Amino acid sequence: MKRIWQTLTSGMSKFIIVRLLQIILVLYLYMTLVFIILEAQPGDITDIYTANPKITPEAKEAIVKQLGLNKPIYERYLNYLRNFVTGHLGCSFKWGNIRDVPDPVCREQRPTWDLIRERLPRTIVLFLTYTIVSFYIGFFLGKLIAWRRGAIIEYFSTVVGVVLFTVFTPWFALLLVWLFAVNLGVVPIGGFINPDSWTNIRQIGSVDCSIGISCSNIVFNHMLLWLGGLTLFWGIVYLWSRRFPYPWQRNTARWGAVALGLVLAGLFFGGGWLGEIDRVVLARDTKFEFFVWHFEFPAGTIPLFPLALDFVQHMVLPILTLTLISFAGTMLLMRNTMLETMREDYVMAAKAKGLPDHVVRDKHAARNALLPVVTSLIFAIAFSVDGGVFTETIFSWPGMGQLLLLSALEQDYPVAIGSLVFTGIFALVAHVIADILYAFLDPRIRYD
Amino acid sequence: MQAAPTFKPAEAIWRVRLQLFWRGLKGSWAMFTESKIGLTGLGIIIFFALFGALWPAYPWLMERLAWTPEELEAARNVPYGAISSIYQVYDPVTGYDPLIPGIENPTPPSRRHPLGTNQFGRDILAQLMASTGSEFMLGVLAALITVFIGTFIGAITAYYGGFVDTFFMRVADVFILFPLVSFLIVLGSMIELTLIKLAFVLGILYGFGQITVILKSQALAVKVKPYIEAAKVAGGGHFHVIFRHIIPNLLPLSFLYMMFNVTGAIFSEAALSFFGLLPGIKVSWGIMIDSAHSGGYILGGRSFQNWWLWMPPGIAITLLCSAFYLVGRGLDEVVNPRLRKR
Amino acid sequence: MFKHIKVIAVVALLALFIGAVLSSQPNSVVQAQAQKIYKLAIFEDLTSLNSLAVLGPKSTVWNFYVRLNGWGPSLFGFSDKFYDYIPGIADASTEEEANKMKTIGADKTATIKIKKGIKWFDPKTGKEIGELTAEDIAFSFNAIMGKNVKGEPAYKGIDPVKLGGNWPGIINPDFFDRAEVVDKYTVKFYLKAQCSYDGWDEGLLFAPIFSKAYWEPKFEAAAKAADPVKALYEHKGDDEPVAGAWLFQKWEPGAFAESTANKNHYFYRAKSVRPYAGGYTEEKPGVYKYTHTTKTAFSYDGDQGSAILDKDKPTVRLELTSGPFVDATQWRIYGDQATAVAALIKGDVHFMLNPLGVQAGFRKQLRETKGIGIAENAGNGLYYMSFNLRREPFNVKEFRQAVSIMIDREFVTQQLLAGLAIPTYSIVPLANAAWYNPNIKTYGKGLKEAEKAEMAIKLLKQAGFSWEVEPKVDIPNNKVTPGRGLKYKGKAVAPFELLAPHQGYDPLRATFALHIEERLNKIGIPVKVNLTGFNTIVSRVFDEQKFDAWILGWGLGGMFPSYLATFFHSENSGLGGQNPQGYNNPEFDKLADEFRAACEPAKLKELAFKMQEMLSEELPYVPLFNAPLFEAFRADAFVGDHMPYEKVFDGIQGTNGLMSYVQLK
Repeated sequence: MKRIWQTLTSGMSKFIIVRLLQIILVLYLYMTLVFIILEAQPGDITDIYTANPKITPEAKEAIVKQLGLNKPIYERYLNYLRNFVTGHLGCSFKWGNIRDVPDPVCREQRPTWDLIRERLPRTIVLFLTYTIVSFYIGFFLGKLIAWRRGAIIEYFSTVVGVVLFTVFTPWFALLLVWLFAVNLGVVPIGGFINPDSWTNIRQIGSVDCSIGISCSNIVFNHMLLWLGGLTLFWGIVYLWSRRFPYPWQRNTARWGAVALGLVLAGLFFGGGWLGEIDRVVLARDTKFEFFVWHFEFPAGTIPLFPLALDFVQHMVLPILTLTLISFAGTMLLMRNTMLETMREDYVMAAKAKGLPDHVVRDKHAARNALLPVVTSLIFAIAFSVDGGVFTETIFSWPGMGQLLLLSALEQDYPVAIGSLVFTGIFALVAHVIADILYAFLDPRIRYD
Repeated sequence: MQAAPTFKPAEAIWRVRLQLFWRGLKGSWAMFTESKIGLTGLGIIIFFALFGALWPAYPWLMERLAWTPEELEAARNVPYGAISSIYQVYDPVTGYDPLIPGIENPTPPSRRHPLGTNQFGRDILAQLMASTGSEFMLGVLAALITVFIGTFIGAITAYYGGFVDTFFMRVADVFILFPLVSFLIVLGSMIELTLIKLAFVLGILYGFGQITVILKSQALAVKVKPYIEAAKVAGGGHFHVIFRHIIPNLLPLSFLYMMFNVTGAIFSEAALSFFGLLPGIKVSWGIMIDSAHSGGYILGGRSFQNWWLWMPPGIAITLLCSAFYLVGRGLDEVVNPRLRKR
Repeated sequence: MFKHIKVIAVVALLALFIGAVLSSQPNSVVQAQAQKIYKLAIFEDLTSLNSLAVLGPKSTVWNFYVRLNGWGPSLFGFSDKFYDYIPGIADASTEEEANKMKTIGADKTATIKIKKGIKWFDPKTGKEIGELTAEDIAFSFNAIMGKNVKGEPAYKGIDPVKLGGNWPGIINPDFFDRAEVVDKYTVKFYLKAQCSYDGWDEGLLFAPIFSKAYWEPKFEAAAKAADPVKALYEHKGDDEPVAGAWLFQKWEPGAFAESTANKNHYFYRAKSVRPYAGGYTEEKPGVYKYTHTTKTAFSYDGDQGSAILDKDKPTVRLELTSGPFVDATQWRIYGDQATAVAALIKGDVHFMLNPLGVQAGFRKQLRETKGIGIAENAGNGLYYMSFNLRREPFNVKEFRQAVSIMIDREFVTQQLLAGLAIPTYSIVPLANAAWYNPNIKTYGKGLKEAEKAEMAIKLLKQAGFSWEVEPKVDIPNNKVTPGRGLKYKGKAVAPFELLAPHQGYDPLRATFALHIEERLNKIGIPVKVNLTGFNTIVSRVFDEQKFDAWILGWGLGGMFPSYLATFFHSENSGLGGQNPQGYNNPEFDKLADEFRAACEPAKLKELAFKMQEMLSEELPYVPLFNAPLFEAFRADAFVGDHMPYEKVFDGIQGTNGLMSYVQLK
């Protein structure tokens, strides 16, 4: 018992516990704030129904009662907190139940959580991809312009960077849609899938996804799992291979892992491996073609591959837009921290030793300038759900941001509040994880 | 009896202070002018300030340049001849040109309308100019509120520490991680946000967040400086120390962050307007883009037709936002010595 | 080697992207073989599949488009385009027979016979699962409103009011008593009155029929549940049997929904003919035939000569064969109008289902695109301004008339709105030809500004208004010098507020509001416009009744103008009622009561006309404008390069896109 107490109160654990307690307090403050602000508004759901002249006041009354809008405010507040604690983010006014077995609490209404679960993967995959791409580009360019201080490239990329960083996002996104989708016609105009590819799909593996269950989400989740799994696998192999003394050993292991992963993924999505979960059952006769190849599959089935490709097609433009908008932020930050580290003694020393420029830059300066950039990366991930509103709306990408905007505009209180609370929690949790990781990674930081 | 001290300041203390301030300003200015980036930004800001300030002169000027007496007479005699004053034509919200039949709108740039008209016959340049003032006001007001809150809270948390510190740092946690865009959307759909209200909301949301933490750490560095100790020893009260010694030393950094906050505020306003969530504001750059978008003039076209509807406001927002940001970067090199050129 | 892995990875990723991009042209990767899919654009996702809920609280227009296609057809209905009153599944072969059947006897009963051989189908497999009989019909009404032997509700806790939404309008609780099965194909209705056009002719007889086999166990379970209504609405409802032409088989939330054609349904390949002279014939050889020779009382004939002429049959105005002729109908969900229009231009969809207005820029683009067909039709709606008639001076008739005179509807619609709206002076839309009274008063129509001002000032003076500075009118120069300090009976009129939707929500109404503000202030009426959110207006006007004046619009839904009574009857002037302006005129109430009770077509029409005349003079609503429906479709995708018909009141969207008639190339 005493030992447990000691562990709990010692350095890092204490820090984590205190941080978690703080976060619970912050969460409570945040939720109450959201509730107060949202409750103090004019108008409610019944207004939407008054737009129909056939609805009598009695019928309106019935709706109000049915939705619990007539209860006093404290009761609704307690309900709101209770629902949250029990993992329930409320029930939508607008969306009806679409599951075979209705949710035990929401019954005929659709739970907000169900809506979020449907949309979150789409948002996460979009924003994770662009965050990584744009951070990589930003890191690389920032390093470069800091190293070439004063050169024309610095001035040029700073101006371009600042313009892209401060450009009015919706406007810029529209500009790109206009250019690439409408005029050049090389990418789809909007949406996240092409219905033509999905119209005949009734079942994926053993899941019947004909009505209400999203077939695309099943494929999407497979893609997410493989992406995560392969990254993890490659990461482990990379670290493990560092123990090998000779470069050829390291390279064989690493390239072998890459090839193995790609082959496994190819087999899975190509449909020749697992058979059951990677096949799509069709309602009507369908074929698929890729470039000039036509593929024949057992009657009534196709593999996952063409469907996964359909997603990728639809992600190109949003990711390009988001990358252009946000790489500049990283670039400018990287430039600044790099300028600071370049003045450190050890960089000077490395230079004085006569090490090649790129070694000093990449191994000494850049690596140490990375920490603030990583922090901002974590922040960017935390805010990805929040920042999604613009992009998702312009690109008709039915993710969290679009859900929030629509439910706010249509006064679907529970979903608007639920998404807002969820977005906040997402950011908070990401932040705490980042905080703790940071404490592990950076020995200079002390928490006493 | 001892003689009275003969020390007598040659000049009044306020003049000394002013001179010192002036000298400091000159030094900073010299440093600032070294940064091309900062100067570019400043140039753009001055351009927009003039642009906005000239708005009242625009109808006056156009009346003399483009609207000949014959045309005025013609305007009075069109079938619905409804205008009794020329100013009406350039009213950014209700104006229309009676000599242009409704069906012909939007019209491309012409002598009568240097940037054309929109689908309701309103002069684009008039809308653009009329909105400039409010964009400035919103940006600067929100940033001032932010900086005021941030500086004050930063100073007292650093000075007192303890509970005050813990409390405001937790509050800052909430506001740093506040999903601002989502929140403003939900808020905007529910209450009517006027420009002033929006400025206050933004000012408060930014003010309790990141800027408090940054200014607090700066204030901590100031707090341990010997002259603070000296002021305390000399009998300066808490208030005296905070307001006369700590806050003045925070101001340069506050000013720097103010620039970045202006960018944020202008951007938020434009974004909310774009989604139609600011009904209290009748004309703004964001609304101009929205009305071009929802009116069907951005997407779908196969050529660059109707560019005058959406290029000017989009460029204006981007330019003004980047201008403040650039000035911020320029100041950064003044305030933050480590970034200065070797 | 390994040093370059990042470069290689980036290149590989780029290659994948480029490959994906290239392969997207021109078609999708997965191709269905030889399917004809009719593709429609919608702007919002479905919110429910449950048919009861869709008619109840989930009655969004998008749910209607997708789900209101053939569960059970109704007993009677309107014919296509001309709105002739014709039998649906009721078994009648002539108009006389049909009329006799639906006439309610002195004992307040009516006996309806239905066609034999109408089948229910399983929507998932398309297999037949029994016949639609009188049992289903009686159940559809009794379950919701009926009584058992003891006079208690058939199912506890369920009635039209509790179901909400459109239910009280479908089954009027004050009119319907119960339905009884006489034999397999005959059902007898017991009613509470001998006539009610609203409750019977366009009420119960138009109500959808549900499958008893499917719903009965669900109603029984619901009656035992704590909240019966919730228990009914909680069913997913995708497996409900249908008797119509469409089997709902696919819904990918957020992306699209799809119904497969049911080519075994009862009315498949039934042919209807509507000659120029009027009359109507519908026939499925060997199965049924229906004819009537005259126009029905309220048939709609408002657009002579606009139908597509068939050279071989010059006497036929419209000939339709019921399909479906396509394999499936697909509704694609687009986030906003801009994306949907772009998709239409690109050819991704054939038609855009759109109850909202199409803005000028899109119109221009669509008109300029080759292969796009345009249909412009009158919409069934009304945009109006109204006042709080409980307050002074809004309760003065002449004041309202002066306001109506000063508004230059023609100027706003043509000069400012470029023809996006039609000036309106009546409550019933001009295009609703059967019910529109052409003899209503149109104060100030066609006058110039100065003339309008003179007329309004005269009226105001008569009613006892005066000014501190009276406005001056110069008619030859068409100039008004503004007045100020309006007084009513010596007391100053305080500045008042006009609530109207803001620019972003509806530019048409916002533009009108600003025009009204300008014009009224010219003659000294101190109005200030408050452009605000739609919800703010609704809650201030309808829920709180704390307002002076407002501008909003109604979608009127249906041809029959029951709204004439609803909007202006004093019984609806309470909080939350539909007469928030508080119009209270005993004379009008009497007319409205009579109108509700009448059922003779001639009498109904007479009363509706009288009410319109009275309203046009009293002006509890000042009608402003109507928005015509502008619809665009891919003409080049259809057989014959056109839709089956394009001119129809309330637009092609009102027919759900003519799904059962379109033929794709």
